[in-house]
Formats: sequence, structure tokens, C-alpha cells
Amino acid sequence: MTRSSPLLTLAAGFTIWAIGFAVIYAVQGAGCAYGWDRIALGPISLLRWILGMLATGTAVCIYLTKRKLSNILAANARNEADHFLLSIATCAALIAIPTTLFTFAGILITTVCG
Amino acid sequence: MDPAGPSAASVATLWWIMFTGGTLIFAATSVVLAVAWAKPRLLGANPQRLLILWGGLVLPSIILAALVFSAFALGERLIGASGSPAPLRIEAVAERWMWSFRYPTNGAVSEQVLHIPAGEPVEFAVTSEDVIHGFWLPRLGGKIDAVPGHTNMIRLQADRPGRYGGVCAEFCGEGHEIMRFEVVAHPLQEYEAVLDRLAAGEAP
Amino acid sequence: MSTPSPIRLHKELSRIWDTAPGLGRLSAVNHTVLGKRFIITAFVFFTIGGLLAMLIRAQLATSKNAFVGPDIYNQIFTMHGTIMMFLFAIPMFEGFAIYLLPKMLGARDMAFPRMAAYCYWCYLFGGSILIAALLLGVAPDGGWFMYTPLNSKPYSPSINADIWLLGITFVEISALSAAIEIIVSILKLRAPGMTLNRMPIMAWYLLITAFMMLFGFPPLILASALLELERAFGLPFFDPTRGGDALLWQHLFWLFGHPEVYIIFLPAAGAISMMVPTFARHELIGYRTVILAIIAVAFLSFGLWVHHMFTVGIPHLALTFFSAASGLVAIPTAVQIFAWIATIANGRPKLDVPMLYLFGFFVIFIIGGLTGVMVAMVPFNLQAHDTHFVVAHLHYVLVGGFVFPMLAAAYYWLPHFTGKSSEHVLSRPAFWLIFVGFNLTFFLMHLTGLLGMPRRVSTYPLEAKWDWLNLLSSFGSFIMTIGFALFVIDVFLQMRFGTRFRRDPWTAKTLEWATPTPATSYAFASLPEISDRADRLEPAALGPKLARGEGYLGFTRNNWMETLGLDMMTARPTEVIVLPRPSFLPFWTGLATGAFVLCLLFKLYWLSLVPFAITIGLWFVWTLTTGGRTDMAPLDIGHGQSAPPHWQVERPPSWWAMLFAISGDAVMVTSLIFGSLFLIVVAPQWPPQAFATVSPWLLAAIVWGAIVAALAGRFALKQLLSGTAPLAGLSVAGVGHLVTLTAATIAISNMGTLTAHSQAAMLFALLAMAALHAFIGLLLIAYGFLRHFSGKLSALRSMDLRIGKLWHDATAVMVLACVVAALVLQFDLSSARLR
Repeated sequence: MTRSSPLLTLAAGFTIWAIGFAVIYAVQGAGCAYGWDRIALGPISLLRWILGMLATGTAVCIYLTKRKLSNILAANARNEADHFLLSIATCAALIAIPTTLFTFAGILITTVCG
Repeated sequence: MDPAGPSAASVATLWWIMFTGGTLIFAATSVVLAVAWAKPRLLGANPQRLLILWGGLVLPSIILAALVFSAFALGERLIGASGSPAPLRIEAVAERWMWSFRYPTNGAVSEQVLHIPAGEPVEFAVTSEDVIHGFWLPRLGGKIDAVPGHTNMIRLQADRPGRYGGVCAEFCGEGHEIMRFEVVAHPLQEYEAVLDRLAAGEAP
Repeated sequence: MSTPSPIRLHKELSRIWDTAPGLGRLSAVNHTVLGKRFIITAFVFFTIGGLLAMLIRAQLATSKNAFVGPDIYNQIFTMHGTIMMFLFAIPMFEGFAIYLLPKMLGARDMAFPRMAAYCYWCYLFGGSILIAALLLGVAPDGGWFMYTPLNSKPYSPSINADIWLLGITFVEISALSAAIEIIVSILKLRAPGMTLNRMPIMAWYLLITAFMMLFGFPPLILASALLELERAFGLPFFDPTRGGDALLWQHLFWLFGHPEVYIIFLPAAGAISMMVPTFARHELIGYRTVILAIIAVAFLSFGLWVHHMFTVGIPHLALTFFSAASGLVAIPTAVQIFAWIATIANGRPKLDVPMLYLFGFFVIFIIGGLTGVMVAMVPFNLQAHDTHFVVAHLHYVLVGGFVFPMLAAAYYWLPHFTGKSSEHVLSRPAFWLIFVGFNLTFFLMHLTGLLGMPRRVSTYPLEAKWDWLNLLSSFGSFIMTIGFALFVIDVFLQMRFGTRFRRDPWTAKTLEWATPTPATSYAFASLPEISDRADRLEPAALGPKLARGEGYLGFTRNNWMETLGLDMMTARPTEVIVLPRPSFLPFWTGLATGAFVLCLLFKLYWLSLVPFAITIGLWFVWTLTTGGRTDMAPLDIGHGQSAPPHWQVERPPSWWAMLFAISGDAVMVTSLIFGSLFLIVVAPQWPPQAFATVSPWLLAAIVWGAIVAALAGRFALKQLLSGTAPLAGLSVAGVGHLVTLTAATIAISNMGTLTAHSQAAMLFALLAMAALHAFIGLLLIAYGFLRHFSGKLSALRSMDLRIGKLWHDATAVMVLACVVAALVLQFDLSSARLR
């Protein structure tokens, strides 16, 4: 780990959320423009599947990040400052998970393109 | 505040729930603040846990979740997602600084006065010729912007016959505030005749 | 080095650090002076904005009022919003940050004093352009958020909108630079031993806020540039009849606009987090939890922007993302509020004037937050949007969340500014007038909005029955104004007639109270070693020790202005940062930049090249006094330790500044690329009749040139580090950038007409972005040559080439991204669209 990356890890969980957000919103816009909501895959539309996968994927990535941070924290926190930052980083990643689920809950129940 | 259509009515209900909830939360928080200031021992041995965890995290999360999900459900209802049959369609075209309405059923056109049937949902196709305007019938429901280059859809319904107001809700220059229009809801049986008269160029 | 006596130390430091009187004040770079300037100037703008608000209320007091006509009224409300958001709120917190940060962190000044001065002059000149426009009756009149197409040429043909676009961009670029300075100062210029977990909580707030500015301002700067290009040259980015989209502006604007309001709130929250512990006489509860909350707010705030656009016709699913996130952001905010309440609960609270204002904050901001959650719900928003309900909400959160804490902060830190303690005779009446007046004015607006009164109307019909509400609101605003006037008088009286007090009348526990009050120009005679959290200190004991020179750097050397730079994580001193002495250069550079902006405003494009060249030339002149001509041994810093001067270190502050500037730049490039994708997918009138194209050879040349420049830049550094002159590397890098610049220029001129469709306009924008990066790269190469020939480069003194290397590497990536996007733009992806 380079010297400054504990600071970057503070942003890790939520950065994944933010990237996921941008991707999901962009895909939703493109999908509606190109009619992917009219292609049915079983009971729900292709677009809804894709968005659901993306949202789940985002949550999973954040969870994996959180686990990695927890491991580093347990094994490695040399000094007070590192421990401090890593513990905040781990917590931040942790709360990014329900944030993701809540933000994208609409994929389950709302009209995709209307 | 004085709803005259189902859309506005359900939003009004949502409003009163949020208003009551908001007032309670404000009152509760003020009480907690006062207690924390004057008699903190009432908050127990570990006030920070109580306050930050429960007051700051858990309680708001629960309230928020409930509120957001009901808002989603209401939103779905308002856009007519339940797949009810396609209602009557009227086109609203905004320009600086007046409104024109076109009735595709028989090609009639009216300016500055909108004619709709009472008791039936109407789907409006809203667009603009120049800048962004806002199409709003306050007593009947929410608003939708009239964006040049796009056509936006909104479903509204007036419960009873009568006259209602419409305004332009998006700032569009010097004539923004005079860009009002009138909405006349006719009894259902008379509506077709109204449209016929409009098409023929007579007073409706 | 031996420590001189305290008096002698003070005299020597003052001689080096003080700003010359008289005209010399134009050369000030000292953070105390600049901080106060920012604050006072911001307050002047607040007064102007407040006067405009009074005009609004005077007009709205009765229906069909003929006080002013709609054309003037549109200027008034546009300027009220613009001034408050851009010329008051941000600069006010910048001023606080610049004044307080070094003192809170245990440094003698900010990282880039001349940059701070330049930021001030840009702010003053940009703001003055806007006020001049107001006085001349040509102020912007399209609303403070400047929606298109209303603000495009056909519907706003005169200069008003250009003044906003150019003037505000001028101010915003300076704010962005200040943000970079704040980040670097917090990360690198702390007292030894102040690891990140020991920083005062305000530093965390400001650090995160500055990062938000870094990512939030570029979209606005980009959007303003694009709109000005559209207005001046007809490039149809936002014109729906030529492939542009009116909504592109809204997305870019609100991508900035929403974080902006949190950028305004968070520093105020930081001030609250500093003041509450003092008045509760207990340290802040939940230091870590609060930091976690601020991080959450910072990120979430970037995912809310569409909640300003719920009515533009976006699908419900997309709206739910933003609605959910908008509600979520209330949670970390609530966590902070409860952390403060918990601190009060655990302490023995004392009601002083600042605390009174903080109570005002609690009441008003919580109401604002609750109405915020209400408008975050889409169905309700569809009714409340663009009505006075929103006006009420935004004033509750902004005034409650920023103005009240700032008023509290003013009373709290006034003894530090003036060195005098306060008699609070007028303060309490002032507070009550402001508090009652505010609530009377704005609480009723919730009702007014719910009764259907839209925003931005200068008159309203009698039949609507909004008269009594508006009249009461206007009456309330007069009460509030009297309150503010009392506040000003109160502050003035305390500054003139307060009694001298040694330090720390509040017995606060943070480092800024250890400086002499009023603060000396050098802040600390010697720098402390921090071994505990910085809100657990004893300033009364620490202050005299530092004044005696017992800390680090308790001496002067070479007439240098020195402070310490640290390793970010371990907080061990790693370099002596030698700061530039007072200079008139920032003032002249500010003037030159202002002249450039004015030339653009008046469409004197060829003439504008003159101030443009002068500005760049002046920036080169700035660098003449930096760095060293010989390699130096590490310098003594006291306590038996030594450290090299900052230009002999691998990653000095300016290296970090370049890194962060590149991050902001990356956001701008990404926004541009997303903008072009947006148009392809959503804009009407696609595909264009004829696609503008660029030869793939030219595109390849553009990329190739940038890659060569990056590789050659690295080679130049390697040459330098191994002891050879880096001439070959620099030359090849220069050629690389020249190739990119030339190829892009040829490509643009081969494109023919750019105004027929946004596809061509976007292609142009992407190529121009690549060219701009290469141009800046060339400037850095020239800088590298300049440094070499003036003897400032050596294996040990390599910072200039390292900074260049950062830019060349980044340019290669950005140019590649722009070229890929340019390629994509040439294919017809929009015909497959269904709607």
C-alpha cells in the first residue's frame, strides 16, 4: 500500500456506489431510448433485468471492498492514524451497501420508461 | 390545497401525512434538544447512543423507508401505470407567452382556454415552441414541463364540471406571469358537442 | 540555530511576514489579511443581495404592484440568487477557511499564498463586473440557474446572459483554485504530530467540502463555456432545433448545483462542530461518526441533482433513484445534529450569544430539512416545484444552515479577529429580530406555495387571495433587515469599543486560540508538536510557550517565510516549505485575467489574445522567485531535527496541487464526453443530415502526439535524476504536444461548418479539449526549459519536471478519451432510437 492510500480508501465504498449510479442511470436512459424495455425476458423486460443486475453487482462490489478493508484493518493497522482511517473506510463501505439497495429499490417496482 | 381531481387529492393526502409527521418530528427534536440542554439525565446513562444511533440513524431510516416507498407507489398510480385504457388525449403547446390546445379527436384547436370532460382522465401531450414552460393545473394535479424538442405526458382528471385555473410554472421571460390559461371542465355528455362546436369555429 | 528572545523573534518574524502599509496592501499574500478581505467583501455582497431581496419583497407585497416592471424584476431576482450563491456564500466560507485553517492546523500560512491573493482579486473583479451590470441595468435576467433555451441567443439576445456566463465562470475558477489550496494545506501543512485522526473536526469538514468543490464545479464551468460558445458562435449544444437539448444544460448545471448547496452547508456545520463543544464544555461526541456522516453526505449529494428536474419528463424509475437518495441524505445530516445534541447532553452548557444563534440554526434548519424530505417525494414535488414552497424550503436550509451558523461564528471568532472581548448589548435584540423576521417572512411562504403561487412572478392576481400572505412576508423581511442592521452596528461597536483581552475568552480548546489575538501575520512564532486530538489542547498554556520559540522553527533564516510540510499519514515533518513573500503579481495577474474576460464579454476576440498572453506571461514571472539554484543540505527545524527545503522533495505541495487540478480536469472531460453521449441518446433532431467527420489519421496523430509527450516527459525526468540535462526529453515532449495541437487544429478547420448540428459542435468541443491539454503541456515544457536554463533543476531539485510529468501523463489519458468519444460521435448510433 502506498503511503497515501489509506486516505483514498475512505472514498472506496461510496465511489463504487457513485460509479454504479452513473452507469445505471445512463443505461436506463439509453435503454429507454433504444426500446430495451419492450423486449421481454420472461415476466419482466430486458432493461429491468439489466438494471437489476447492475444494481446487484454494485452492491456486491461494495461488499467485497468492505470485506477487503476489514481484513486489512484486522491484519495491518500499524498506527493510530492508519487504524482510524481504515475503520472509517470500512464503516463507509458498509453503509454504502444499504445505500445502494435503497437507492435502486425502484428497479423492483416502478415503471422503467414512463 | 383545494384539490378538484384524484391526482391532486392523493397528493394532498400525502402532504397532510408528511405535514403531521414533520411537525411531530420537529416537536420531538426540539424537546430532545431542550432536555439535552437542561436535564440531560433524563436521557439515560449513555445519551449519545440513544441520540446518535436511534435518533440519528434508526428512526429516520424507518420513517424514510416508509415515506419513500409510499411515494413510489403513489407516483406509479399517478402516471397511470396500472394499464387502464388509453384516455382521451389533448395536446398542449406553449409559446411565449400563450397556450394553444389541440384536440386530436376532431382536429379542433383552442387558445388560452382548455376544454376537458369532467370525471374522465385526460392524457396531455405537452410541448413548447420556444423555451421551457411549465404546464400546471394546480387544483387538478402536478405539473409537467413543456420542453422544446420533447413531448411530455401527464394524466389529469377533474372530478366535477367547473372552471379551474392553469399557469405557466417555469420562468420563461418577461411574459411569464401573464401566461395563465383557463380550464373548463364540461359534463361528460356535453363534451363531444363542445368539441364539434370548437372545430366549426363557434363558441364552445 | 539558537532561539532569539521572544521579543526579538516577534520583531524578526513580523519584519518578514508583515504586509507593507498603503499601496503595499495590494501585495498582501498573508492568510489573515486575505481571510478578512474575503469575509468583508462577501458580507458587502450579502448586503447587496439583501437589498435586492428587499426590492423583491417590496414588489410582491401587494398584487398587481407597479413598483417595478417584469424586465427589471427579472434582473433583480436573478441577481439576488446569483449574488447570494456565488458572491456571498462560497467566498464567505473561503474567507473563514483561509483565516482559520493555518491557525487550527498549526501552520504559519496556507500552501499557496499568492494563489490565495489571486483568487481574491479574481473574485473581486468578477463580482464587480456583475454589480456593474446591475447598476447599468444590464444584469442577467434569466434566473440564477440560467436555463436554456431561455438564455440562448434567440431569447436572450443582449449581453446580460454573457455577463453571467463569463463573470461567474471567472469567479468559479478562482473558487476551484481555492479549493485545491485548501486540500493541499490540510493534507500537508499541519503541525508535526497532528495525524489525520487528531485534526480539528473543522479541518475534516473543509477537506471534504473542498473535494466536493473539486468535483462539483467543473460541470458548471464546462456548461457555461458551452453556452457562451453557443451564444457567441452559434454552436448548438442546447438548441433543440439543431440536435442540441435544453435538458443538457439542466443536467450539467444541477450536477454542480446540488453539491453546491452542501458545499455551502458543510463548512457551517464544521463551525457548529467547533462551537458546540466550547459552549457545552465537553468535547465533540462521535468524532469518527461525524466524519463518516460527512463522507456520506458528500457522496450522496452528487446523486441528487435530478430532484431539481422532477418535472421535465424523465421516466419514473430514474426519478426514484434521485428521490431515494434525496431522502437518504437526511440521515447523515440527522446523525450530525444528534451528535451535537449528544455533546450538549454530556456537557455543562452555557448560553452565550453564539449559542443563541446556534439554537436559531437548530430550529430553522430542522424545519428546512423536513420540508426537504417532503419535496424529495416525487408526487408532492410535482405540485410544489416552481412554487413558493420551494422558495421557503431553500431559504430555511440556506439561511438556517449557513447564515445563522456564520453569524454565530462571527461572534465566536470576533475576539480572535480583534483581540477584544465583547459586550453583548445589541446582540440579543439583533438575534431576535432576525429570527422572528426570518420566520415571519418565509414560514408563510410554505402556505403561499401550497396555495399555488409560482416562483419568479412580479405580480399576481387579486383573485388568488395571496395578498395578505405576501404582505406579511414583506413585513417580516423588514423586521429581518432591521435585525441585520443591528448586527452590523453591534459588530462595528465591538471592534471599536471592546476591551482588550489576552486570548481565548471562551476557554476553547483548539489551536487557533494559541496565537496572539489579534493574530500576528506569522500566526505562530514557533510550531507546536501535537500529541493529542486538536480539540483537547490548552491554548492558554501552549500559546506563551510557542511565542517563546519553544516549538519548531522558532527562528528566522535567510529572510524566508517558512512553515513545515508533513508526511500526510505519519505527520512527521518532511520538508521546510518556503513561502513566497508579498508580491503585486497576483494583483496584476488578476487584472490581466479580468481584462481577458472583458474582451470576451465585448466580443473583442482578437484583442483578447493580448491579455491572455499577458496573463500567461505573468504566471511565468510568478515562478521566477521559487526554487533554489544549488542543492542544499537539510535545514535545521528545531528540536534536533532537520528537513530539506520543499523544492528538494519528491512530492512538494505544488505536486499535490497539480494532482488535484488534474482530478478536477478529469471531471470536466468526463462531463463533456457524457454530454455528447447524452445528446446522441436523447436529443431531438438526431441523426444529423450530414455527419461531420475527422480523418482517422488526424485522430491517430492527436493521440500519438500526446503519448509521445508523456513518454518523453518521463524520459526527461529520468535524465534529470541521473544527472544529465533533460533537454532531449523536453524537446521531444514539446514536439509531441505540438503534433497534437496542430493535428487538432487542422481537424477542426477541415470540419467545415460547426453550427449546423450539435454533432459537429460536440466534435469540435472534444477536439478543442484535446488541443487545450496539449497547449498547457507546451506551456509546461517551456517552463521546464526556463527552469533548466535558470539553473533551478538538478537531480535533487526535480519538482518542476515531476509536476510536468503528471500533466503529460494525464493529457495522454484525456486526449485518448476525447478521441475515442470523437470516433463514436461519427457513427450513427441514434437511428436505432425508438423515441
